[in-house]
Amino acid sequence: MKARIALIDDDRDTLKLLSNFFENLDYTTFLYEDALKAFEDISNAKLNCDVIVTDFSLPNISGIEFTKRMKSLGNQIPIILITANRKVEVAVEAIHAGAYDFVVKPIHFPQLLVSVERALHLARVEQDNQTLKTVVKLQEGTTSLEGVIGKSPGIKHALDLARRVSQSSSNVLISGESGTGKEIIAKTIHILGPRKKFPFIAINCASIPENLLESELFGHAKGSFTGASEKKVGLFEEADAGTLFLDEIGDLNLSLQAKLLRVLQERKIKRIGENQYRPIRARIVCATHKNLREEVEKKNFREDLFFRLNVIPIWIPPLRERKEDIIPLAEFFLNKFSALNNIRGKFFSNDCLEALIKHPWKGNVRELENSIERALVLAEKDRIESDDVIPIDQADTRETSTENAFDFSRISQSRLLSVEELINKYISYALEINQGVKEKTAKDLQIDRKTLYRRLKEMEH
Amino acid sequence: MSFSNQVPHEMKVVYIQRRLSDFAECSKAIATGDYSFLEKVGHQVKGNAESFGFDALSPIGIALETAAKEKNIEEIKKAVHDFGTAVANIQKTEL
Repeated sequence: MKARIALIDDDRDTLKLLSNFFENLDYTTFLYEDALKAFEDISNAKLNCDVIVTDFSLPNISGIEFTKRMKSLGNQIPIILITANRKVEVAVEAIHAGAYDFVVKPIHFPQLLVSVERALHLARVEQDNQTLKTVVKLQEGTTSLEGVIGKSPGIKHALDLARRVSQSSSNVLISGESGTGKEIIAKTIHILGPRKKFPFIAINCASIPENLLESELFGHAKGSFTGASEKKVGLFEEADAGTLFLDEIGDLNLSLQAKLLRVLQERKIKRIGENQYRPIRARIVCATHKNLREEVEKKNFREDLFFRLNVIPIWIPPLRERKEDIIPLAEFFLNKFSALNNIRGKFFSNDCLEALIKHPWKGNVRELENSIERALVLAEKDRIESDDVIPIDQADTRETSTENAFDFSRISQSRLLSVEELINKYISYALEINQGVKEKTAKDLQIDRKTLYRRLKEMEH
Repeated sequence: MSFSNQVPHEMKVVYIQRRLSDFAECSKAIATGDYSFLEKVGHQVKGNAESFGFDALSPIGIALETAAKEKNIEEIKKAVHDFGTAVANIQKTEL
């Protein structure tokens, strides 16, 4: 698989000459007469290339200025400058600006080819190195700030908050849709702060049966209940002076909410079946996909606990609201799974990149990650197409949900549904589309929330 | 030294045709005093001629660019004249 080369020169003749040379060697070239346009396309992930060859002297921004701007973005694509100026100072300036190499006119094509190939080789080595570091980190079970990929304002704000709050012991409440990376943010807070030497303990409150959750959190004495054959140290103690991450805190029952509130207030716990109080040193970070203010209004969540947890709220936007992060995330996952599966040379086609940006990603980053892993393993060619990542039959997940699908053909084939039945089915459908978020559902259906709640209550009976 | 044998013949033909067109525009630019255009042509020819294997055009491009920057009309006329002659000669003898 040959590389993709971006060529920048305001002289169309030279541009065509360069393109002709590389295309004849089966490289793919992208031509720009304006470095500013090339910079914009790269910044917006519209251009995906492996190396850039640019003229030194350009009208809007010079080749040097372009190089500096690329490096200031942290972009690692190697840049080769072509200059007519043979002075040493120019060469030094080019290298200081971050250029990989420079070529002096008249263009010596074999020399340029060698320079391009060396740049590509170096980029591959650096990428392999970075991927290995990521794999090592994955294998060691650690994450770092580099594990959070994104340049969108929403994610940058979340990361900035995480960085600032990491130095304190304040309770943090992370909210966001499922799959947005709430646990990664929690880990980031842990790793960046002084507690990183201590454990990071995570528990999903929705995945543990209620009758076992209390024991998990607080521990128990031997014989304290049927099945308690040994004493158990709970997670509050296990976390020591580290972090205890309580995911899906919105699913905690009211009884445990009351106990959690007491722990947060008094900073001590009692194991089930014991009278002794034990101090806790862990920092509590919680996360939820629910709207806890709404849950408070509905009396499903304690207001006093909500205020105690919500000292530092961090909201992670859904992936569809941070489209500029989709390609960097996709590239990250491609590299990650390539390393883990020992696969080399796979890349995304331009159509695929477009499809990635357009897809709604209702499952957010988790869905994107799963899709990339699947595509990498199943794609038969090196070039990953949009169908590999987003199979046609899954392009709209609403079509796979038949139980609540709003299908006119069913009305004509069976008995006619009553108006009430039709409305209920549509409400259920809308709720599913919005992943159970009632506020958004009411807004989409253009009814007030009270009406929606009333309807849902009626549907239960 | 450029590797002119790397350049396909048809690209050389197109290149010279575009230079002939530039020559015609340069003559108009002298009449209108468009030094900016003349400087641009000189700069481009200076930069790309040798890459296409037309070494003789490069010093003419330098002369044109310099003259246009200095707004030296006499030197500009001389450079444009040399430019036209050289391009026509190339078309006649090499292509």
